[in-house]
Amino acid sequence: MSTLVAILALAALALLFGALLGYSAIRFKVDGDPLIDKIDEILPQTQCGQCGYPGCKPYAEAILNGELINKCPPGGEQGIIALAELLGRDVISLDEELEEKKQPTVVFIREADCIGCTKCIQACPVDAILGSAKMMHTILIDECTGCDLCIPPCPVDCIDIVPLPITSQNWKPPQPNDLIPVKLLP
Amino acid sequence: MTSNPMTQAEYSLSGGVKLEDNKLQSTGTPIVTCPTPSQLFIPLNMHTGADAKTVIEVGSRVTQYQLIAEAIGNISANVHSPVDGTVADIKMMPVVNRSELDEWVIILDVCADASVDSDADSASSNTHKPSKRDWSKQSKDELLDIIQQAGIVGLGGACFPTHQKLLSSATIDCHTLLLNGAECEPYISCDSMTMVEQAFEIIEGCLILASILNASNLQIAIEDNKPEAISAMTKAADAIENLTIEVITIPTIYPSGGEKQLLEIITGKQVAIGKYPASLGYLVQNIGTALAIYEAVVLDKPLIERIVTVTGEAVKRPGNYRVSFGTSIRHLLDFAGWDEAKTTSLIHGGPMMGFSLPSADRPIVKSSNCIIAGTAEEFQQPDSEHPCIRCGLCAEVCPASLLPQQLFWFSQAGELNKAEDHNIMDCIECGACSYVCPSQIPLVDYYRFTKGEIRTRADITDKAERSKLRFDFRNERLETIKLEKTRAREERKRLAAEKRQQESGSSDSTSNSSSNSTYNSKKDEVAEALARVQAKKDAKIEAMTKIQKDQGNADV
Repeated sequence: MSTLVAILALAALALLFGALLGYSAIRFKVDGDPLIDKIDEILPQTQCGQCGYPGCKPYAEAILNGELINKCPPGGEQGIIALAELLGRDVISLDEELEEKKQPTVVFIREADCIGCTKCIQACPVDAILGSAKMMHTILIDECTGCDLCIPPCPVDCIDIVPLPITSQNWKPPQPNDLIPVKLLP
Repeated sequence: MTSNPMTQAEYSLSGGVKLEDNKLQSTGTPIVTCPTPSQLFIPLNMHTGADAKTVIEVGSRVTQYQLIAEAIGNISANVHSPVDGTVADIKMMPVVNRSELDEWVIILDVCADASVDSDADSASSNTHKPSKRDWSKQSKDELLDIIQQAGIVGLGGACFPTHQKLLSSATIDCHTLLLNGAECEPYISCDSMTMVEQAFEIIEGCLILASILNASNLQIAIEDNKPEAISAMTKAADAIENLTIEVITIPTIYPSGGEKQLLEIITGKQVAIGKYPASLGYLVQNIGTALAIYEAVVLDKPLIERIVTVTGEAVKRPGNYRVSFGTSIRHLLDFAGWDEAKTTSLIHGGPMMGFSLPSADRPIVKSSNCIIAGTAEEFQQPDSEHPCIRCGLCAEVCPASLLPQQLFWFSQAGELNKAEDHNIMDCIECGACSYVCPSQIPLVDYYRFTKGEIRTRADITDKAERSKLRFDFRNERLETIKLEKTRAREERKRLAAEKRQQESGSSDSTSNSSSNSTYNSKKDEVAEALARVQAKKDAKIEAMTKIQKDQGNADV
């Protein structure tokens, strides 16, 4: 008799929890893989396409599907380390074919040479170029990510890459001692 | 008349250092007005926040008090002309900042006669003026507007726009207005001298502030090393009827003048991390700011000058000077009897929080409370840095109760996250830790560097987020355009099909009436088809004959 009670009780519990799990699986279903968003957060969102994917999110998806984590030059070493930490992979150096920028840059349209073809506007992934057909174009410096995607389509080569100007507003104090003094023993 | 109590502060500061005052050098003489030079160099950014935007052009004539650059956005401040003059140029020039990077400056040629006028004007600011405004009838918003228009910023050092500070505090219940007359940094005596000479004006400024905030308690905190200022302020406070203004004497300890530190001394409570003094129901204003508010509201005079302490062994007449903004520091120092050859360090601000200037050809700005021209005996060049011996003195003196040693190591190792977790952003950069460090480590420089790195990182994250939004928005827009195009194409197709159907339908219905033409077109079609068949046949025959011909040739 007690065995029967035990079996029934366990069966009832199993049913209850099964139903609960089944319900929550439907009710709290997560659309897509949350890991993609986490990877996407680490990527610098320049949308430059240097990784070979059309934007940061597609690269994030590719990483999840086994792509290497060293294909993002704007993210640099810090980005690779963060990705390796998140995904439990090894830290590897940046893909040799790609080059990391030494300092942040933006592009600048030489307005005198611009013919107003709108080709760069179509290429800009973040809508940072202002202008219309046969009108002079200009860059919104605060929105430019420095991806340089606007440079190849320009038929008159009037776009220059310039380092982001340092003003007293965005200046940051230097490190007091850059080098740790190491005395060489004779 | 109510008798105002003069009280001692009940609490003390956790941490802090006792420093030599070095204030007596500059408090011996009354405040002197520095004559206006022939040219003024007025930076567009003399405050925290965005550059003001010029409203004049090169060559414009300007009159004294005229607005020459207006604030952009909320965190910015108006700039007014201190003199009658002409705009000689607007260009990028070196100004007073740590970065030593150029900023936009308006260069004013001063009218010869105007400088005399302004001197007389400033000198007489203590005496009765005919155009005194009765502000008691004005609403809170009107008063705030006057303060904003006058370009008033916090003159304690940070130069944060005052109206913005008042606005953000007005939303919270502010029961106490605390005027900060601590002036804890050595050498500086401009606030102390202002309190001695213009106590009544400061008290009136205090009343204006109180009416804006609806604050019921009014307090003035002064360090106990300024007995003249304390007695002058007490006298002025006693003269106010129906209102108690409490003058509180606080112990002389650096940095008692920091906003949060002062509150700790007065209330015994610490302001929580990331919060403002308003969270304790306090609003703290510098006494210089209160004076500027008095001048703006009562005398209708915008912020165009300030009291600057000029001191150091290399000046013959150290003291406090009333100086128009834009006056070259060289001009001011020369007026105070400067011996340039003896000067080894030229410091803007105090010896603890100020910074060295590479040249005296820089303008006086709203934050210039003190200029020190020091000699070699006075300011020794710091020794080189030695390794940290973990003595812990820095942690003892830190007035913000941080862990300076930890922060130092995190800064050296570039561990921004850990530094942030240890609240490096709450460091007030007072320099007490560097001062006591036996290893001469410039700790504050490390913290400044790390704070800069953290801010840059936050900016990059912000921009990445914005870029992502813009990228997503653009993709969505392109998608919508594509969808609309396909829909339009389908719509056109559907319309064309409908039209054709209609046409064929209509041709069916009209076939009887125009059977002739239909018949003709059909006949044409048949003729065409026949012609095509004939052509094919001809081509075949031609090909055959060609093959036969070829074979015949081969046979031969």
